[in-house]
Amino acid sequence: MITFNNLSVGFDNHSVLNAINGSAKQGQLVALLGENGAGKSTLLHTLAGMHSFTGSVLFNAKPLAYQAKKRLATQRAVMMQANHVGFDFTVFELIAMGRYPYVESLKMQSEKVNKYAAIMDLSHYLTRRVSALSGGEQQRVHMARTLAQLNAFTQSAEPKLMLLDEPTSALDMRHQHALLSCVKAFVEQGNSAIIAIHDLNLASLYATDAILLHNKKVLQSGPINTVLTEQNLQQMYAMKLHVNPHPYNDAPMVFSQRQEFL
Amino acid sequence: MKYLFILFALMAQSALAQERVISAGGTLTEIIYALGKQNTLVAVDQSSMYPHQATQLPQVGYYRDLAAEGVLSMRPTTLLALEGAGRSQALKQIEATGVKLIHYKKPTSVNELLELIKRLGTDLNAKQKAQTLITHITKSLPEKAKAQTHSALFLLSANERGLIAAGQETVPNLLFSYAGITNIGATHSGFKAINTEVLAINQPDFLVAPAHVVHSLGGKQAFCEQPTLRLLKAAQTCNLLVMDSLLSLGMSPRIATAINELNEYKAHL
Amino acid sequence: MNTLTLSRFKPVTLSQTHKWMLLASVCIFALALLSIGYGPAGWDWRLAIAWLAPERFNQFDALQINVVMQIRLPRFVLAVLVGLVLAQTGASTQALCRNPLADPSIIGISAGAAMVAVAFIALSAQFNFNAQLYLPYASFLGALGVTSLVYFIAKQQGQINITTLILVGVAINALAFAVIGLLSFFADDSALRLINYWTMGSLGGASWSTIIQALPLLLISLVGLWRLKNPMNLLLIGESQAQYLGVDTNKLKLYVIILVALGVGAVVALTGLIGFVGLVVPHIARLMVGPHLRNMLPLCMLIGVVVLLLSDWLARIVIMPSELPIGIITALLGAPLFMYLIVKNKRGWS
Repeated sequence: MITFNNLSVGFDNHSVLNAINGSAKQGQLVALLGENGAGKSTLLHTLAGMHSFTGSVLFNAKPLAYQAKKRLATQRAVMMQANHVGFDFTVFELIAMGRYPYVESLKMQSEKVNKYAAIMDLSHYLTRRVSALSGGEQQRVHMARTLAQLNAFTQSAEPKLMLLDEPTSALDMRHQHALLSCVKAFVEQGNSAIIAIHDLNLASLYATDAILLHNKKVLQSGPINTVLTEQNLQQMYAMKLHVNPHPYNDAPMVFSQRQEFL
Repeated sequence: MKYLFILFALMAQSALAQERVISAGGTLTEIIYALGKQNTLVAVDQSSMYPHQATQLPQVGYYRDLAAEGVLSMRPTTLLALEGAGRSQALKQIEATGVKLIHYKKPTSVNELLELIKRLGTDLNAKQKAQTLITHITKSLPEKAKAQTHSALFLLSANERGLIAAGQETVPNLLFSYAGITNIGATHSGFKAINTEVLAINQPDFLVAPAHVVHSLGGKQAFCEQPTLRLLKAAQTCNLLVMDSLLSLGMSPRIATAINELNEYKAHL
Repeated sequence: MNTLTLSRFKPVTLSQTHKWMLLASVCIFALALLSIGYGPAGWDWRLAIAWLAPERFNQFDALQINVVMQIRLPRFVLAVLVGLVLAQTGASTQALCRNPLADPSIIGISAGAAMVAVAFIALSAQFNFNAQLYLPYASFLGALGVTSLVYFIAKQQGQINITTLILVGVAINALAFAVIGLLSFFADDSALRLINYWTMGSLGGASWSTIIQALPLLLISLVGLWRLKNPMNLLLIGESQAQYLGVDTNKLKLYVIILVALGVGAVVALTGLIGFVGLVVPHIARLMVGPHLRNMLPLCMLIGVVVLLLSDWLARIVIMPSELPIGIITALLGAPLFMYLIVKNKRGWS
């Protein structure tokens, strides 16, 4: 789990996030919402340990800066939106790369790869070149790699963290749900995840909590039902939105209206 | 007594016949032929282009970059190396196998050429022949001209990239000074590029170029018609003397011929 | 390429890699016999073993045995080392730049070495000292100097930007060739010849002493890059991903650059410029077993040795007793082979 306090991040003298607080605890799938340029990606990068910041970031109760790189890699993983790989690796090889932080025999590695490929229903694709797969299939491969990196779905004392930056933006509906349901299952094992996402309704269906970023600050954070209100959304997106409960469950659904151009 | 003498002569003959010589350097090869010692020659380097028989022999690379194994495969007893022969590593390897390696300084004047002939005469056991050759050269050498009557430019290359002319400390320069010709290119030393503008002001009476260069450009006419030479009156009237490459670029025993060629051409202008 | 016959529970291309590596090793063994046995001074495969026990092989005289031990064997060892280093540095540069068309000459290392060496040759003609003796050191310093310059310029905010690296390399290449052109233009005949011979590449300078002198540098490069092959492989999927997986990418990039410069600088110092190998051999290996460095790198290095041995042997015998520059042969051999492989595997570049 991860908590950040008084976190400020900037680039070359211009600040992107100003003294914000937040956390993703065990069992929480946190949706990171905000308009374009609100700082979602920056926040994810910072929490991943890739950007300098002032304030404190505690990962599993230890400051981020003091974590050993390889050990950190077994506990937190980052998945980006479009993972274009310019080289012709096979599905097996790509998933196996997720095992880099682990010292293990080739046989053990192979077992792990097979396990996570099976979880993501890729067992029949292992010898295929990733570049030959469709977008949705490729994201499945990257998810399998991420799971492999975190040693997910195994008995583990330490909670893991997944950071995802718009992982569903390029996918069709079926694959969007497939990916998010996988993350949900991962989180329910006692881990946490923070997902930057544009699709508010998808966020509503899968996330447990949400952080709303607006004007370099956190507008509101907490359980997603309480955070996704018309008032908050209007403030964030500067447009009139309606929030109604989903017909078959209690997730808040967001409806927008047709706009006039001028 | 008579038989002893014949036996001795025969032995000397066979000992000499065992000599296997490789010559690395066109100048050396030419002198070897002039001394009549070509029967000991088993291979030459790529720059040995005169006389024609030399080009029929196996070649072991250019004298600055000899192939060590190539040289050794000819099983030489002696390697004659002109100054600048290499690579030094290859020469060391060759010498290490027991081949006699003799270095010769490159001659830069007529006297040094005669010295070289004398040395080769000694090293190849042809002192008599060497002396004859030296005398011949000295006699046939025209008197060094007292006055400079003409000016000329020796071009090593003339193409779109410019002109490369012979300056001081080159063989063409030496030939010119003997023949009483002012070398327009004498503002620099060695073979270097010269500015065509300068030549427009300081025009040479005629041009000289080595045969292989003229040949590669398609002949005398083609050479003269090159755009880079447009400003030169000598090119317009095609006052071009084409000289044998080795004769004009290296110090050879035929130096007298070279100088005479220049004198004749001068006279006919 | 038949990968579908493999069982899903085994690492997929490992046995295929082993098959190719075995083939390459057999070729190397055959080429060893060929290149040590056949040459201008002796044309017999038994020469390749006769040097071990000369008394048992009466058909060969002392000169031939000597030629084998002092000329052919060092040349064989040098060809192996050069093949290994050029192939490995080529593959490493491609991983570093995340681009299959990169090779050390793109970053400007070879051109930098050549520029310093040529300047050295031109100066030696001017000031009359022996260029050949000190040339290797000049060239190596050139490689290192250029690498440091390029690294320094490409470093932004503590990180090495790959695009900048390549652009600076392009600039250095342009500068180096301009300088070389300038120097050649003003050089006199002897310097010009030396410059030409040097830029055409040759293993003719191989001797035990020169090899031993360069050996530490070559070994450091070989061992160092080999040990970095797993993290380097991660660079291929993107630098940030490599970082997330725990790789210190800045340090990695720095080490790779230094090790590549060491290897290339040492090779260029020993043999002059031999082009083509660093660019094409990794491609060939990739087309055979895929881009994963665990499979590709060992095969790539073996293929490099095959190419070098074959090219050097041909360079020595085609116009016996003279020699051709090896760069011409590597290009003549490599290009058609490369085209054949591309046609056979129309999967595209990567």
